[in-house]
Amino acid sequence: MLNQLLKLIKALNAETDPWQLSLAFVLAMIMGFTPLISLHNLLILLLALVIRVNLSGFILAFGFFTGIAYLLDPLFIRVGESLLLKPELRDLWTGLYQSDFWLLTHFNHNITLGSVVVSLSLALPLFFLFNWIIVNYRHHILAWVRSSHVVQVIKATKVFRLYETFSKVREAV
Amino acid sequence: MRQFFRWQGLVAFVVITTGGAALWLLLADTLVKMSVESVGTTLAGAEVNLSSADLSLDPLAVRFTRLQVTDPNAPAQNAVEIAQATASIETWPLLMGQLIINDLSITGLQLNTPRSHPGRVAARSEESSADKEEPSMLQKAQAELPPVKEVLGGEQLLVTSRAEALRAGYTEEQARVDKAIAALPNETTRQQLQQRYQRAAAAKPKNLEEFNTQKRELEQVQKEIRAIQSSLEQGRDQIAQSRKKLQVQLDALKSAPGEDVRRLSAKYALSPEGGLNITRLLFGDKAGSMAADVLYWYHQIAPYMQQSNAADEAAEKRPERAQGRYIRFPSNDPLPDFLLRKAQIQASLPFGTIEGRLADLTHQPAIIGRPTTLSAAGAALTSARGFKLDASFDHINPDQPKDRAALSLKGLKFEQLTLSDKAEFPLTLAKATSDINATLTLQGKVLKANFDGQFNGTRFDTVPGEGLAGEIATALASVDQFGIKAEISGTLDEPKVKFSSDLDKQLSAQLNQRLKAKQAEFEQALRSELTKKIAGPQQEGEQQQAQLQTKQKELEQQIAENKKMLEAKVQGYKEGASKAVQDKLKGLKF
Repeated sequence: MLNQLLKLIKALNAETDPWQLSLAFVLAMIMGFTPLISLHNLLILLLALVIRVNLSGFILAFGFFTGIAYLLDPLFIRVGESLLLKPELRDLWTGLYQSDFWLLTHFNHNITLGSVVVSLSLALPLFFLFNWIIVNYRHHILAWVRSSHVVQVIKATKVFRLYETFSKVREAV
Repeated sequence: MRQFFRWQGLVAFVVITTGGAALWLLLADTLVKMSVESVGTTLAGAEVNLSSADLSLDPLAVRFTRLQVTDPNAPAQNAVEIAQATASIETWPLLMGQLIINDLSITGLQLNTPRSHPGRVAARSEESSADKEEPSMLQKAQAELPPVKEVLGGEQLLVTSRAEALRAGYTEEQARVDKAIAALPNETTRQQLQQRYQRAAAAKPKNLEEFNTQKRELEQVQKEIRAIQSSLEQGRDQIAQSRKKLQVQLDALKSAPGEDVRRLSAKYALSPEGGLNITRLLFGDKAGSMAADVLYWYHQIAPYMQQSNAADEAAEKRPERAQGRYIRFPSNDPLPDFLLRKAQIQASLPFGTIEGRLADLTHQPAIIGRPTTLSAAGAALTSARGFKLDASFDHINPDQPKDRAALSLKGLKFEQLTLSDKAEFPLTLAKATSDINATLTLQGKVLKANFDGQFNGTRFDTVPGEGLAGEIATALASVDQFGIKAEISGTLDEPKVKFSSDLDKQLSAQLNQRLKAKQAEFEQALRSELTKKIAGPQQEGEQQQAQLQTKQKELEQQIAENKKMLEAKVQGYKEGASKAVQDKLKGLKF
């Protein structure tokens, strides 16, 4: 876990494209918010593995959003329940209910539907929000931190130079 | 493209998903076992243990070995133990969150088997879990005849209150009498007055002057005697009045034991009015205990046979956190969330092996449109000639659920059936053969059931004790056959049970005679104790009465003497005066 955290910090501070981190966070949010054993989560996992997103960010964010999901359960239930019981949508659900594929998605489960709808609704705004935060972090906070005296002093130490050498060797290996 | 995709991720995906599936398969048996134990414990309200669960995938089936369900009322034993159960499950619906068991085969079902260690029992509601020791029917009956000393110690007795009233009354009246007597002249004064009177009366006047002197003296003495006479009469009246009052209290005290005996006999009647219901007394506790067990299991299982109304579902049943619920929609092939299509059950009961068939068990019967049915018949009976059970649980319309059951047991042999293990009245049905028919219907909450049992060749084992238990034990020794009928009405939560039996008739004459003798003995003991209680105060009262009587007689004697003296002397004076006049007249010549 500590290793993943260091990797994430490194990715944040490195030249990794912001979208790789933002998308990792968004995919992790969908997977964390919705019940893990679901058909759609296989797709999310596939996307996370195939698209070049930051996996450390994905793993850490998945743990974070899974924890938050327990707090948001009442919201998911309310959203899922209201959608499934909405008379206007009854025909839609009844139609999907006749399909084995859609039944496999557990769309008629209130938490599943509620959490998928909420996380998909948040996906795009959060993607851009994460992107903006990362860019601004790198431009302002990281630049300020790097130029600070404390960091300059640390960078000048032998220990830090040794660490940098060790990291380069490790990456090469 | 390479900037956006890493195609080796596909390999990782396959590895992860395959590895996950393999891990699940590896742990499936343990996961199923844990689920069965957890869900079963919640369902039964007591610990459920499963020795092993084996999951097979093609076809999907699960086999359970040695499933034990702890008896919530006796954690040291199992309410149910199943040697083996095999269920074949439909795979596709399971992936969609529906557990459809096509066939369940249960073998080696046994009731009340011992456990290796006591099972954990969930905390139960006050009514059912309170292990408060309810008094048995016999205790209730016996409680009406406590020991005599206990009865007398805890009752407000007339003998006590009246004895106290007598003592208080005597003190009060004695004070009045003492006051009246204190107002009387003392003995010396009385004697002096008597002597003066006698002297004056005895004198012989020789002339008119002496006569007048004597007359004045007599008149003076008479005046003083009259004054005394008035005091004496007041004293006498006071004593008579006090005696009368005290006599009333004394009489009341004497009658107190009788009144107390009558009141206490009625209150602590050994044989209540309308007779003693021996059937309820003998079988009431056992029947009550069995009914409580049946009721408990019905309450545990009933929620799984019926779901609340679809309309009220959302409002009534808030989904559990992190669990959620499935919402069903009309379908061409509707299936409930849980359905047991059919089950074959082979059970080893105390009277032999029976085979049963359970069909269409679900908590959403409206979806399948069929009620749950249960039928069973004897297969290899050892202690009965025949067994048949037919039951159906129709909860298709949740507003009008209707359950019915009919049970028939022929030639059921009882041996050493404990009817009461209470220390004060251990009773065992040592031997009997019975034919039992029972029916039960439950519509909504309205319960109606009938039980008819005919017992032949009976022999009861009991230890003759004291009191009512001893009487019943002695009377039961001569009973060799009897019938019991029970009618149950009311509601499931408050059933009303009415017992009747020819056992009452058989035993009541004999028992009532014995009870009457015991009642008489009780009354005699009461009377004896109460009489002892009043002996002292009664004796004191009688002595006081005697003393007052003596004093009263003494005063009356004095009054009589005084009166006699007064009248006699006045008459003597008149005679003397007349004689003196006559004597004077004799000297005159006309």
